[in-house]
This record gives sequence, C-alpha cells and structure tokens, in this order.
Amino acid sequence: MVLGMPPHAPQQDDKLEQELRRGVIVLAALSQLNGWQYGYSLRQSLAARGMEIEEGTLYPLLRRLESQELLVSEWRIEDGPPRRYYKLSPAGRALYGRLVGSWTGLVDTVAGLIADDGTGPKRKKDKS
Amino acid sequence: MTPDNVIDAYVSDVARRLPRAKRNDVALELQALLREELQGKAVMRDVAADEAMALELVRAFGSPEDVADRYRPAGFVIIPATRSHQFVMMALVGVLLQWLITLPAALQQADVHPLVALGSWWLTLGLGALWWPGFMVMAAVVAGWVRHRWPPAEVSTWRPRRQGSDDINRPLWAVGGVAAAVGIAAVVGARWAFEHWLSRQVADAFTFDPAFLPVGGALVVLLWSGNAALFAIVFIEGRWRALTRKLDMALGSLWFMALTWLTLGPRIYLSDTTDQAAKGWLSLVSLLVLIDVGLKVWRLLQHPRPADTLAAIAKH
Repeated sequence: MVLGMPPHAPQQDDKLEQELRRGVIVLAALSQLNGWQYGYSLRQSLAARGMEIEEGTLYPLLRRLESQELLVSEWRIEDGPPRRYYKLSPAGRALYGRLVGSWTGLVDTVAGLIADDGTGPKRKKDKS
Repeated sequence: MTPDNVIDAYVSDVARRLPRAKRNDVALELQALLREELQGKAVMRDVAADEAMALELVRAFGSPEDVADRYRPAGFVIIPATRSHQFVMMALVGVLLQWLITLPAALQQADVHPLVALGSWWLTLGLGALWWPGFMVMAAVVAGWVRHRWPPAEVSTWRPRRQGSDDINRPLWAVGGVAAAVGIAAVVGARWAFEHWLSRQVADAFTFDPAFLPVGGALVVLLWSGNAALFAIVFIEGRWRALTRKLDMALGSLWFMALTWLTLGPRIYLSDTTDQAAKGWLSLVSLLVLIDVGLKVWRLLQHPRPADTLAAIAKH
C-alpha cells in the first residue's frame, strides 16, 4: 500500500463510474434535442437507446442548459398536462458540434490506449 | 395521502428553496414530470400508483435541498477549497491573539473579583473579538464576487515566482542597522535630548522609573544585545542559515514575552501619561512581533527547504 493513501473502498468504484457517465450526459441529452422534446419524453428516448439517466439529474440539467442559452424552451398544451418543451438553440447546436468532435477524438484515443494495454478488447486493424 | 399529494408536497418543498423569479415555472414543470414518471412506473409494474410508490419516486429524485441546488445556477465560491484550511487558521489565530492580549489585562484589574472581571471581559472584548472572523467572511464574499464577476483570463497568467533566497541585501541591512541604532538611542536618550533642546518639564516626562531599570531595562538591553549579535553574524556571513533563522525566531519569541510582560507589568516611566502611552505602543509592537514570528514559523512549515526535506526523507 502507498503511504498516505486511503484503503480502496468498493463505493469508490461506483463513484468513478458515475463520474465517467456524468461526463457524457450533456452530450447525450443534446444529441436528442434537434427537435422539440420535454423532460419525460427525452428520458424515455435516451433510455430506449441504452442511456439511462436518472430523472433527478436530467430535469435540472435541462433548466441549466436553458439558462446558459444552449436550449430554447416553451410551454405547450397538447394531449395531457402543460409540458415544457426544449430544443437546441443556435449556440447549443454549435456546442453540440464541438462536443461531438471532442467525443470522437476521445473515443479513438482511449480505445487505442486500452488496446495497447492488452487487457481491453482488441482494435480492428486498419485495412489500409 | 394520495400519490398526487405526495408529489405536490415534494414539489412545494423544492420550490420554496428556489429563487422567486423561477419558482412557479420550475414547480409546474417538476410537478408535471413527476406525475408522468409515476404513471410510467405504475404502467410498467402493472399496478395503480399509490403513496408508497410516489414516496419511492421522490426519494430517488433526491432531497428537496439537493434538487433545489441542482436547479439553481452555479453561484460563486466564497472560500476556495484550497484556501479553507488557511482561512480557518487565520480566523482562529486572529481571535486567540485578541484574547491573549485582552484577557490578562482584564484579569489584572484591581478591586474586581476575577470572575466578575472575566464575565465583563467576555461580554465586551471576549465576544467582541469575533469581529475578526466576520470581517474575514465579508472580505471573502467580496473577493469571491469579484472573481465570479471578472474571472481570470482563460490563458493562465502564471509566472514562476522567485524562490526565497537565503542571501541578504547588505546595503539595505546596513541602513536598517543604522535606523535601529538611532531608534534605540532615541528611546534611551530621550530625556537627555529633551532636557538639552526643549524644556525640563518635557524631559521629566521621559524619566525612567528607577525600579524598572535593574530588571526591565536589563532585560531589554540583553535582548537588544542578542539582536545585535545575530545581526552582526548574518551581516558578516551575508546570508541566513538554518541556525540563524532558528535563533531569529527564538529571539522574536523572547521579545514577544518580554514586551507582553512590560505592557502588563511594571511601570516604565515615572509620568503616568508617558507610561500609559509607552505601554500602548509596546502592546502594538508585541502584536507585530508575534505576527512576525508566526509568519516565519508558518513559512518554515509551508515551504520546507528542499535540502532539509530530502535529508529528512532519506533518513527514513
């Protein structure tokens, strides 16, 4: 054991995994907001694609992104109670483009690191 | 309670923690979303929504305080995490210093029972010393707001700081030595100077109490001699060494104790007015000496000298 380091606790694993997921929540939410969505429908749409985000995280996030002018929103009354719908603002669309670029680069880099380590899944060899 | 009642109570608890401007809007949205979530869960489990299910939902959503925090825009940091320890230490030391100076003086009052004096001190200067942490918090609030309003440039402006050098500036030290000698001469020869250049009455005001000189006077002369010797060693060597630094701190501590004793203890001048004024100044000087020693010790602990540190690690 390294001196000065606390012993490893299993809860730390969960926290680290949560931290990893937290980093992509904004990107995941923005990816589904090209058209109008309200909180519940967005959560369902993300969950249907395998991206479960807790409601307590997602709903406040939408408000924060709106206050940062990355989303626009409006109240609508359709088939049910009044709902607040959100979609990307021009600034949000620009940010989304940037985040997609960063994400793609990161995925490639990290996949390379894991493959080189030998413990992760092997990368497909380039055909060229 | 019906499930809707549970959700309404929860939303109301969250909303009252939100800024007034967005309270109703967020509450309406949150209420609609939670109701829809509850219906979704009920459909998935193929049962009717009930109070227990509603409670489970809102508890998983988070405590009202946490949820309100998530809805709030990020505020500004008052005390950065890296400074919190330093902040607490400064607050505590500031209060303790004030108590250290005011409490002995309060307890030395003649004709007052020590417990009465203690009670009176606590209700005045004792509690009054808490102005310092309050002042520090207000200063931190202003600094935090300024950092938030005008954040530092994105590109770091960090520059390497010149490392503390052991070398001394001899010309500056020479000037300091002359100034110290002049100051000592002024204190010792004040009576003589005033008698020759002003009036006898003024000179009398600076006459030392004969009882002070054998003990207090001797102590001060001894400490001055110690300072002069240390000054001479460092001046000749042209730099500080670990030993001379430690001697400097030890002398500073002795000066603090001596000055505190002189402030609270024996009469120094025969004239009451001069004596009181001198003690006032001495208490200020003792405070400055204590701060100086404290800073030196703090620097020593904060910035261990690399060679010493490496040697200490190598020993283990």
